[in-house]
This record gives sequence, structure tokens and C-alpha cells, in this order.
Amino acid sequence: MIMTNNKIYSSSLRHRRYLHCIIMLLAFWSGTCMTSLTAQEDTLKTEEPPAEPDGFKSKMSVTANQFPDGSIELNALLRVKYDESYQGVPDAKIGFFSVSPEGEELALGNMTTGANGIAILVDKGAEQKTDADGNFTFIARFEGKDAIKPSETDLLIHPAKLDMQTEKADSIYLIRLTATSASPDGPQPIVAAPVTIYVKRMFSSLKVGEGETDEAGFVEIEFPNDLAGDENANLEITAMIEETELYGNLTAREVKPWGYSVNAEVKELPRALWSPHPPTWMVVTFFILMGTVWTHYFIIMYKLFRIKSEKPAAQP
Amino acid sequence: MMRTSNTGIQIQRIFAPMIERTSLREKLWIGMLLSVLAVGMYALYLQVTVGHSVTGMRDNVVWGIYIANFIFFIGISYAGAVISGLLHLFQVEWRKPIIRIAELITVIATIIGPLFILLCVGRLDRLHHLVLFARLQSPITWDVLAISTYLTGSIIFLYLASVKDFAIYRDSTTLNLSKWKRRFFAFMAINYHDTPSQQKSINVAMNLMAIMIIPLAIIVHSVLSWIFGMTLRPGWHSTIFGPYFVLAAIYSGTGVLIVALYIFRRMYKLHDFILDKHFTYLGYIMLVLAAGYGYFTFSEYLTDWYGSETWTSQLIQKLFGWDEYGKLFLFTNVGGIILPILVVATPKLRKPGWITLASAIMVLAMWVKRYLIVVPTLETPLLPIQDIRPEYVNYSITWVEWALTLSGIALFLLLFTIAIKFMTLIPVSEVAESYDDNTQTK
Repeated sequence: MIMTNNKIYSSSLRHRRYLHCIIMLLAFWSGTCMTSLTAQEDTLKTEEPPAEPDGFKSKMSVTANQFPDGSIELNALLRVKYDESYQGVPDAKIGFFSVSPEGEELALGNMTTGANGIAILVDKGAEQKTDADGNFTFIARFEGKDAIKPSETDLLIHPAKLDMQTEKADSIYLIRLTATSASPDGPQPIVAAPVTIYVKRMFSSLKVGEGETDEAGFVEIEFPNDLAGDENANLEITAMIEETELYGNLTAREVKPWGYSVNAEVKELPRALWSPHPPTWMVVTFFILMGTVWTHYFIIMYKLFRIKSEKPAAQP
Repeated sequence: MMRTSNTGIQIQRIFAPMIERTSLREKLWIGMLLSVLAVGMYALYLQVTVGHSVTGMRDNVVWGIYIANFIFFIGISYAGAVISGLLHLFQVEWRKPIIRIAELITVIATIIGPLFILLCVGRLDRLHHLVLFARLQSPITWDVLAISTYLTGSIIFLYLASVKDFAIYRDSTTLNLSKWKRRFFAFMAINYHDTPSQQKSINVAMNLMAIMIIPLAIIVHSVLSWIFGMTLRPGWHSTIFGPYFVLAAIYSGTGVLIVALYIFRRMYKLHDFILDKHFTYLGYIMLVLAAGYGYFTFSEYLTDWYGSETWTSQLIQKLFGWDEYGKLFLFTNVGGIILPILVVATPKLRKPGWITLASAIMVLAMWVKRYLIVVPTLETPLLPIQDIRPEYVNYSITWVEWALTLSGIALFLLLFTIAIKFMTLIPVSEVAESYDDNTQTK
């Protein structure tokens, strides 16, 4: 009897121990999870932008491209410092202004920044807006948005242009460029300026030639004859004197049929790994393998159906 | 009316408490598993709403612990597919008490494995694109088709091996079943009454499935390896990856089967059915597989090391480097190859306890090995990376990934627990026939 009681006691003790173990495991698990959850929440919180009561400081920069027809393309880049690096601000309204000889601001227009934080405005009547010294003064202004503080910057450039002429001599393509700046005495050559020739490709421009202007502001650059053009062999050629302190960028652009034609016609792709149609051997192998397996499955299903539909023999 | 022998009645009595009702202990166990799953669900909610940034996966290391888990679970599914299939074909008598456990491991692991692929996919709302825009020449499409076919086959195999048992449960006077459960067993038994023609049909179907399941399992794991092997990455682009994966899968499947047998033998006191010889025989199978797996491992890494290609050398340095993956790599070779061989080869250690311990360590080592196949290669990019944050190149497992991994294990155990509510772990019909034949012979 004592033995039996001992057994019962030891059995109940064992059960209690099991129960304690399970409760402790549960408590440990939930504790670990809560700690992890809290840690995760903290991690998520740190990923949020730092709270600044007076907002984020923005930074604006402007560059200009002067074209031979006298128009000027203004590029304004608006950025904020976030996560230790400057990032472009999209969907921000930028106001562009030019300054008159009397010091008045003339509104050129408003543009909205794209995903990269850049807003572009092309001013076609720029030559009539020079100040008393014959310079252009442009202002780009951001009025602020949400938590981003306002900012503005100005740009002073002297009117200049880069004229481009093209010539095909036998199988050689030549680009002749003349860089001049405006002055009360008429156009003055821009001397010793580096000129670069680019061709527009799918994602960015490809540099294909370079040279330097002489005393007359002139340079002749040979253009390669082995570039792929569009289906009509056209290439968009851009000549640039880049990032000068006095003039900004001087740009000339022309489309010439100097490439070789790339046929854009979509041909029916062969059966291959890279095409939408798998190779024939693969299709055949696939259907043989899958067909064999699934046929067996159906045979087995049929056997099971036969078992189900069989009437049981009468019990003796 | 299906009749069974005394052995069959004995098995039903052992499992009757589990089939007839759910004890407090079981409820607590299920509650614990559900609580783990609940944490996993919260982790999944975060992953879906916040995005994959809550995991350690980034632009370069786009696969992590989820893919390692996927390979691991599909691997252990081999326990039933190949082992029970082969033993059935060769009419190995000692297989009978263990095939049910092996087949359950197969089906449950094959259900859970692909769930980890779903966790790895960034846009679950586009999951149907896998079918709508499937490209037959993509290894991912091969995988989807192969695994779904394999899962169907595994379920059919398990079901065929259980039809007789369902009929026995349906007609059992030993089991005190509720009405709905008896109706369920009647439905699952599909009017089986052990007539000669029914016996013939079920035997033909079983033989067909046993033949089918082996090549199918081999194809599935080969296809799985080709997801890696078809890419031109160091450590993956290898011609032996197919057989290497297949061998590793059968090997880890055997290990999980041994561990499961040990646990169930102790838990349900199945010493009369799961005998010491089962551990010894499975140990011998494990020994042969360990030797084969060791040979493949040596061959794979010797070739890579000797070739000294730039990127492959970088990967080898990572794997052998003590400060990087060296310790884990050593563990996979010692725990995953040498230890099981030593334990089974030493007569004094050839006991269920030691074999199970070696198997458990081997299974863990095999999981680590899957991790070492996936992650170090992705941390060795083919294109030079500049000006990038270290966490984009180096992978580390986050708590979300751990939670979902543990949830996968919890779901595996939960499905096993639920399965025990509907079938005996020892197949009544097979074992009863076998034991009664033996008794008559004696």
C-alpha cells in the first residue's frame, strides 16, 4: 500500500515537474520574444528620420547650359541631408528668376523637381535680360515644404555660345566648333577651352572625342564612324565646354545620320534558354517525365476507386 | 468487418488515449507550439508590412536562412520516400514498425519546406505569377512542379499504406471513438474490407508508388540542387551538386528518422515494436551514407581549392577562415561525417542512445551545412562592390528569421501531434500480420 502511495506520489510529482518545466519554458520563450520585439521596435524607431523641431535644412545648387540659339537651360538641384548623405528632394516647387539691370527680380517660371531632386527650366529669351555689366544673374528659390526649410541660390554667368558645324569628307566625319563670348565690341573668341563630344546612348552619354580651342576659339574634332545609330542611322551629337566659372556649360547639339543602322524590328526568337520558348528537347523531356509520374498517380487513383466501388462480401 | 490479431489490439490500446481524447499534457504541448507559431505570425506580419528589411537579406545576400531551411526540410522528407520505398521494394521485414513514422516525416516535411520559399519571396501578391508566367527553362519552375508532384506522391504513398489501418480503426471495438471520428475513418477506409481483389489492388498500387517515389525523390532534390548548380557562382556551379544534394538529403532524412524513433519509443513505450536492431540497421545505413557524403564533400572542396580560381579561392578562404565560417565548417565535417561513422563503427557505442545522439548532432550539422552552401557564396559577389554598407555584403540572421524558423519547427511538431490523433504510429495491419506470421512459424 505504501509502495502504491509512493508510486502515486512520485507520479504526481513527476507530472508537476513536467508542468513546471512547460510553464518555465513558456515564460522563457515569451520573455525572449518580448525582449526581441522591443529590440525590433527600437531598431524600427531608429530608422525613422531624426526629429528636428525646426525642420531639415535644404541645399540648392544651380548650373546653366548656354545654347547657340541664345536659350539657357537652368538646372536646379535641391537636396537635404538625411542619413549622413545628401539626397534629392522630389516634388518640390522651384521658382526661377532673372535679375534686371535695375536689380528687380523677373519671374521666369516655376518647375517641380523630379525623383532625383532636379528641376529644369529653359529660358528662351535670355539674351534680353543681361545686367549693366552684360552678365546674366539667375536666382532659384525654394519656399519650403513640409519639414524642409526654404533655400535659394543665385548664378552669375556671362553670355557665350558654342557653334557647331559638321562635315563629311570621304569616310571621315568632322565637327568644327567655335566658342565665343558676347561683348559690346562683338563676339570674342574663348581661348584654350576644353571641348568634349558626346553621343547619346540608352542610359547616358558616351564620350567620343575631345579637343581644345585655339586663339580664334576654334577647334576641329574627328568623329568616329563605327557607332550604332537608330534604325535611320541617326546619332544625337552633343559638343560641350563644361563647368566654366564664367559661362557655365556651353552646349551645341545636332542629329546626324553618321552611325550605322540598327534594325529595331523584333524577330521571332528561336527556341532557346533565353527566349520565351524553351528548347524542344526540354519540352519533350518535361512531358515524358511529368506524364509518366502523373499517369501512375491516375492508375493508383483508379485502383482506389475500384476498391471503393467493390461491394463487401456477405458476413458469415 | 476488418479483424485484427492480438498484436493489432495491443497497438490500438497503446495509441487509444491519443486517438480517443486530448489529455492536459497534450493540450499544454499544443498550446506551447501555438504560442511559438503566434510569435512567428507576428514576425511574418512585420515582414509583410515593413518589408524584407526586417530580415538579414539584402541586395547581395538575397537568400539566407529561409532557403537553408527549405533545403533542410525537403532533405529530411527523404526519410519516408527513399527509406520506406526501398525497404518496401526489397520486402525488408524489419521496416514495418517504422514506415508510418518515416512516411509522416516525408509528408509533413514536404508541406513545410516550400513554406520557407514563400517567406523568402518579396512580393507574395505576385505569387500566382509563378504559374501564369512560368518559364519551362527556369529551375524555379522545375522546382515548383517537382515539389508539388512529390508532395502529391508522398501523400498518396502515406494514404495507401494507411487504408488498411483506417478500415481497422473503423471496425475497431478496442477504440472508443466519437461518432465523427468513426465516420472519418469510414470515409478514409474507402469501403476496404480486405477482400482478395481489394488486397490485390492495394498491393499493386503500393508497389507502383514505391517504384515511383524513389526516382521522384531523386529528381526533386536534384532539381533543388540545380537552382544553385545552374548559376555561375563559386561554390554552386558544380556538376556533382545533384548527387551531392540527393545523398545529403537521404543522410539527414535517416538521422531525423532515428531521432524520431527514439523519442516515440520512449514517449509511447514502444520497446516491443521499435527494437534496438532498428537503430543498429538504420545506423548501418547512416554509416554508409556518411562515408558517401564525406567522399562527395572532400571531392567538391578539394577540386575547388586546387583550381584556385579567383572567386572560388575567396569563397574557400571564407569557409576555411577561422574568423569567418571556419568553425561552422569544421563542425559540419566533424559532427556531420566523422562522429556518426565513429559511433556506428564502434561496437560499444552501437546502442540506441549513442546512435540517436550522433544522429541529432549530424542533423544539426547538416542544417548548418545548408546554411554554408547558401550564405558564404552570396557573400562572395562576382562583381566588385565599392562604397557599400557592410550589412549589405555580410548576412546576419535577424530575430524575425529565427522566429519564423522556429515556427517552421513548431508547425512540423504540431502536424505530427495532429497526425497522431488520427493514426497509430505503428501500422496496425502491417505489424499485426508480420508478428502473427512469426508466431505461427514459431
